[in-house]
Amino acid sequence: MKKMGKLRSELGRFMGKIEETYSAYKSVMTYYFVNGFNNETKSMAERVHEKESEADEIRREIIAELVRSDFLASTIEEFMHIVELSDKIADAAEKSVDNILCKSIDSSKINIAVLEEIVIITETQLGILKRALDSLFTDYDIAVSGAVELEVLEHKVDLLQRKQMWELLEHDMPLCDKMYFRDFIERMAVVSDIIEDVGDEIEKIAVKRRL
Amino acid sequence: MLELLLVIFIGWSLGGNDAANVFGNAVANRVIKFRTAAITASVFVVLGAVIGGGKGIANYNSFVIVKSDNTSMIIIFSAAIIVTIMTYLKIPVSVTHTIIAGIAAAGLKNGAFKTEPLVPIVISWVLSPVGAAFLSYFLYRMFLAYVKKYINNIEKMENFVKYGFMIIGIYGSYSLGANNIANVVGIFAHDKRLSINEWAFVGSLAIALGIVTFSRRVMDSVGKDITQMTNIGALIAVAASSTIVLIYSFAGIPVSTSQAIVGGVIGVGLSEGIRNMKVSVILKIISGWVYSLLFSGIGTYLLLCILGG
Repeated sequence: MKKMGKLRSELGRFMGKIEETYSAYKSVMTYYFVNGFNNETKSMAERVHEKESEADEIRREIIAELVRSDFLASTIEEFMHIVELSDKIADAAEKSVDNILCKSIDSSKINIAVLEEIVIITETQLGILKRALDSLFTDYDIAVSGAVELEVLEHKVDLLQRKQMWELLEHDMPLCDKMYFRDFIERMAVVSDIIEDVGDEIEKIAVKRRL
Repeated sequence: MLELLLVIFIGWSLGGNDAANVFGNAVANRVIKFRTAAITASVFVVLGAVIGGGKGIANYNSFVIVKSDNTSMIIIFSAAIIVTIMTYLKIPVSVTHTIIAGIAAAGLKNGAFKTEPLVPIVISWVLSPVGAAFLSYFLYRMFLAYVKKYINNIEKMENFVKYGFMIIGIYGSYSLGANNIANVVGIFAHDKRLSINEWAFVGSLAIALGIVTFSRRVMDSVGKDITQMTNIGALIAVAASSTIVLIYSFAGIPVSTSQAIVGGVIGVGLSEGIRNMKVSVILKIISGWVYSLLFSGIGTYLLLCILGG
């Protein structure tokens, strides 16, 4: 079915744009941890906004196509939900970048290595998510095992987040700084949570249709 | 001329009520558009009636206890009214029941009531839904064991469901025409004014008219309300019930497609787990059959008293 092939290809393009958004986000964070806030940070942050807008545009196209399509009602509903949820990944990365710029956080007071690891794991999750979503069009079992992998990685991010929080609590910085950093770390980790949520939706679709 | 009008009336009401038994799930779940379903069902009902309906039509006179034109017209008129009202109320009803109730009432009114002519049909009231339930249960288990593993992605599922509903819908429409045409024209066809094939053609056009103009109301009731079925479950329920109906058309016995589809749905529901079935809805549909029997019998009796027959 040509239309199914087109949907698969558009979803792949959409997830690719989400990956680009996150990749731009990773570049900003990596630069920021080393160099702090300057004009280059600002211009790199702008790229995150651009990529997020491009992802939004593709999302709207996919939704419009789904509404016009003659797919089964359940298929339309499920993919609209996946697309809306996946869009939150790019939104969360964008908000996290804005958070740094607004608050001008002094990153020298926190464990950068842990934060970098969170970003790397999250980037890996995105790649797995893209493959799991594509697998709905080839093999449900692969989609389900992809969703399981995402859960495992999200748990790792959770543990790293908790570790960073404990270090924060034991630090002698003022309370307001601790609250800033807590917020900052949560915004970084939430992207992994959202990816895992999308993975759960993919798993539900695959399991429901296998029955 | 009056007989022709009554054939059109009963055919139209049967088409309005019974098409849902074939395409109801597909239309309710938006797999197939109503227009496509209505046109497809109409074409294959006509084919089924003309090609496969002869034996049922020829056999029908053996069920009629009081053989009088006037009585026959009143029976059909009464049945058509009941079916139309039930269709308007979105209750799937058995046209076979309503006509047989009328035949029995005519027998009672004329002091000529006999059970033997009606025995094969009454037995079919039990055997057809039970048979459909068994067959759908068996088909569903076979599907899970041998076919499901090949439908392992979204594209295959979409194709299977869409093409499946269309193919099964064609099959079901054909068997509906082949079996139920006898209910529409059987009571009049003995007089040889038209050949059996001509009667079948006229009657099936009336059924087609009912499908196109009046069937949408009942399409949501069947299947969706009894149990939350998957698309596959719905496909199998229709396939099983259509097979049972077709078997009875070979035997020349008109059966209720409404009863058969309820049996098919129950069989699938039992495969998926009895806790998923809404017993209250099943009871509501069964009560619809009982009411149609009663109202048709009482209505026919009263009309015979008023109009004579």
